[in-house]
Order: sequence, then C-alpha cells, then structure tokens
Amino acid sequence: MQDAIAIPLPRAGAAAAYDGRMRLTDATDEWLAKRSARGDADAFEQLVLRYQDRLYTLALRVTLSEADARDCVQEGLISAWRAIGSFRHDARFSTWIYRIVLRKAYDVLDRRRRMPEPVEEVVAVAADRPADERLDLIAALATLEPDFRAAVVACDIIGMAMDEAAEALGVPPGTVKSRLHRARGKLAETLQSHRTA
Amino acid sequence: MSDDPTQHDELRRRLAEQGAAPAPPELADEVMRRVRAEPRPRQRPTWLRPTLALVAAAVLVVAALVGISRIGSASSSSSGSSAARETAGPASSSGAGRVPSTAPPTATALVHGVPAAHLQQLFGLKSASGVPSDTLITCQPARIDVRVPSALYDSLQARLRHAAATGSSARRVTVVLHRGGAAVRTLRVTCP
Repeated sequence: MQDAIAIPLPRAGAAAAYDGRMRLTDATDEWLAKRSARGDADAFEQLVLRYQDRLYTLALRVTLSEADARDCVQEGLISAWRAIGSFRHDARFSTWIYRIVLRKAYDVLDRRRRMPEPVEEVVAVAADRPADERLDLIAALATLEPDFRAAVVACDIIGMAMDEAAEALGVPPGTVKSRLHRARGKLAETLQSHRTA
Repeated sequence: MSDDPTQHDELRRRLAEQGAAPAPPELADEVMRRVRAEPRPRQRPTWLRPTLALVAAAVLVVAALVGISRIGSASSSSSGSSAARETAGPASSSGAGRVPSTAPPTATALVHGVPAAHLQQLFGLKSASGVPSDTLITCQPARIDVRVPSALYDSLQARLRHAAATGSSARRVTVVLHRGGAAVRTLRVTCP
C-alpha cells in the first residue's frame, strides 16, 4: 500500500478541507470516501484498513460464524466500492459502511433460517475455546436475539453513539435504547446463571 | 432480567474490552485485490440528474405543444369547405381541400361540382388514354375517376377546386382524383 502520497492538508478548524500535503492515514473518512468515489483505490484501502476490525466484529457477533463474518465484510466492502459514487458526502461514512455490512449479516441469518445449518458450525466460535471469562461473555452474547445482539455490538463493543447506531440499524434511537437495556439485562442474567451452575 | 445499573456498566466495560474480534489478516488484502480488479467507480456529476429531468420535461412539453397544434389545425381544416375531401389511406383522413405536403401515394381527393366543360381542358384529354372525350362528360352517375402521376396530383386538385368554385357550366360532375404510385406516368380517366 502506498501510505504517503500527495494529498492536501487540512486547514485549521476544517477537518474536511485540505490545502497542503499530508499522509493518507491522517485524512478524514469523508475525504477518503470522496477520493474513493473518484476511483482512488489507495484512499479506499485506507478506509478498509481503518474499518476492517470493527466491521468484522459486527458481522461476527451477529452471524456467530467466522466464515460468514469474513464473507459479509468482504462482500460489504466490495459493494461499498461499487456504490461509493452514490454515497452522500453529508452523511457519515462509518454509518453507511456499518449498514451495508449489517445488511449482509442479516441476509446470512435469513438464509440460515430458510436452510438451517448444523448448530455445531454456527456456535463453533464460542464452543472450541477454553471456558474463560471472555468466552462466557461471548457465549452469553450469542444467546441474544440478532436484533438485540446487533444493538449491543454497535453501542457497547464498537462504541457507536445512540443516534449513529440507530441509523446503522435502521431503527429509531428509542428502539436501540430499549433493545440495549433489555439485552444487557439478559446478558447479566445469563452470566449469573453460568457462574452459579 | 437484571436491571442493576452497576451491573450494566460493568457489562459495558467488559464488552468494550473483550467483545472486539480482529479481522483475519488476509481480509484487507483479499478485498483490495478484488477492488483493484473491479472497474473504477464512476461518480455521476451532481448536476446531471436535475439536468436530465429538466431536458425530459422540456421534451414532454414540446411534444404536447406539437400534438395540440396538430389537433387544432386538423379540426380547423375539417370545419372548412366540404367541396373537396381528401383521404390518405384507409385509416386516416384530413380536411377537405387541404393537401398535406407528405400525402402518401394512395391519397384520394373528391371534388364536387366541377363544370364538365372544363374537364377536357383540365385533363388534356387528347393525351389521356382509354376514354373518349364524349364518353367522359356523359358518365352516369356524373362522376369520373382520374388516376394521376404523383407530381401532378396537387396542381390538378387545386385547378379542379378552382374550376368548381368559379365555373359557370350547368353540367357538373364529381371528380375523384387518385394519386398514382411511382409507376403511374400518364393520366388514366375512367367512368365508375
């Protein structure tokens, strides 16, 4: 990857406006998205590197399958590259890309619902590791309904603000808030019962 | 379901610390390999969509205006003289006495009240084939069919109409003028 190419620098106090030279890694998401829309694959690569872990976490925690999560992120990013010309630059790139990958993850769940897979494959992420505290938490997360899981992942793991999560999940902020509250309660309950068992 | 806020905060902390999963190391490379193999995305200029909409609207308005003007001219000409009626093919008709510049080869004009005395002069019967002049003016009913070369159709029709309007002969006939196709090179006059 070419990491230091000639791109404009930000003006003081204006993150999206540039008039000098800077490193690609310092550019804002929206500036990189604009460059990507003009066909700059290096700018898009910067976005991929910036978001791949968060997107993978989102897809993995929703689909509960490493293979499906990898596919969701790959397909989501390719779709984003194809559609980046239609990205509205007044929107947040992060919300846009989360939404694309989340839609792919829900598609996987829909397909799975129509053609149920062996349970072992789906829960393999949680089952083949030592039963430490981390695994307890991830296993407990896996027991939540997908919509509730997505809310927890968006807000508590990835760290989205409530309104951003609402936009990414395509529901009102109030719905995210209530899902989050109920999901945390259920998680606490599951973890408690796991400890006492 | 537990509603303990302290417990919820503790859960949030643990989720933030332990919930994240790093993407597989080859994921970004694989994505970028596919991205670089794809055609570059083309950003449609922002002005293109409104411009296209404007052009489409303008085309529609012009088409509507042309349509309205045609309907208007057709109705005004159909309310005019009924002395002559022209038909263009079997499915359409236009107003009497009006000769469209793009009239098809099969056009027919009906001109009533042409003075019989003018016919020989109008059609130059000496050169017309098949019908003697005395037969022509005694056709029963008083009607003749004339198939003319396409090039003469308009001028003959005009002259017939002029004769019908200005002639003073008591003996009058109806002339059905047919526009001949490309193969018709001479006048052909027949009684029905």
